[in-house]
Amino acid sequence: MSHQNFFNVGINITPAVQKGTTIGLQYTPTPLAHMGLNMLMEFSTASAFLNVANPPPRKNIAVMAHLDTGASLTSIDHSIAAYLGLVSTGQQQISTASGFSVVNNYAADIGFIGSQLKGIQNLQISSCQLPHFNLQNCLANPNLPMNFGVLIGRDLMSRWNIIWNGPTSTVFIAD
Amino acid sequence: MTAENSKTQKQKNLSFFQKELPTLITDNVYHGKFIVINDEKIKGAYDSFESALSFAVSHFSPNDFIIQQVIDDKERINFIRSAIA
Repeated sequence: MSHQNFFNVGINITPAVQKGTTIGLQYTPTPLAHMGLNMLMEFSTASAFLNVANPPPRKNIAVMAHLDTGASLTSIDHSIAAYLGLVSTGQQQISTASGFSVVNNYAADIGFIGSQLKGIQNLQISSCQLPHFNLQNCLANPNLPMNFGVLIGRDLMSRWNIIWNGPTSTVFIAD
Repeated sequence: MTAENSKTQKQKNLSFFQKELPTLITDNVYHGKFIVINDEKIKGAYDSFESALSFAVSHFSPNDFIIQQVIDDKERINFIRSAIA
């Protein structure tokens, strides 16, 4: 079993305080409440397609992913599927804020960057359009937390033990 | 096979799946399974997507098959709040 603890603390006091000064630290639910959990993932062409005659060139991308309990399948932005040159393996109907839509499904290998969580090969993923995602910004800097191009769905969450500590904005994930 | 023909092949397989889905859902052999469709025929039914994909890529060109789970979309909640169509 491996696990990952998502808990970021940044302290910057300027100017420096005098010796003996008492400083109070307070946990706050604000980061998780406002932004949810965003984690860096890697997506690449599914391994299964590399064993066929004339396999497609393997590409990968590091991209921020957002935990979304409303998604049954983990989904990537359409632009990521195009960038990786993924071949559609089928279709699925999804409900979005603007109504029903039929979208392509794909297969991909995934990993979790900077984490001990195990990667998964040949995972079925879906696709959607994430209006705030910008592929070029992601390629230039994949660490921008709000530029997420992936929604982590219940298919992945079902493999994990997740502890969501709202008051301290802490998330513990074990696989 | 050209890319255009492949697209047509995928569309034909998807149309076949949509046509057969109401019947397949009521069949205990297929309900919940991941089925591989090629040439508008069911070529295999598997418990997992990974198994279905492994079979499909070893038998067919990537553009000539689809893998669909035999499930009514109404059976699962799939509301992507921040996505648009």
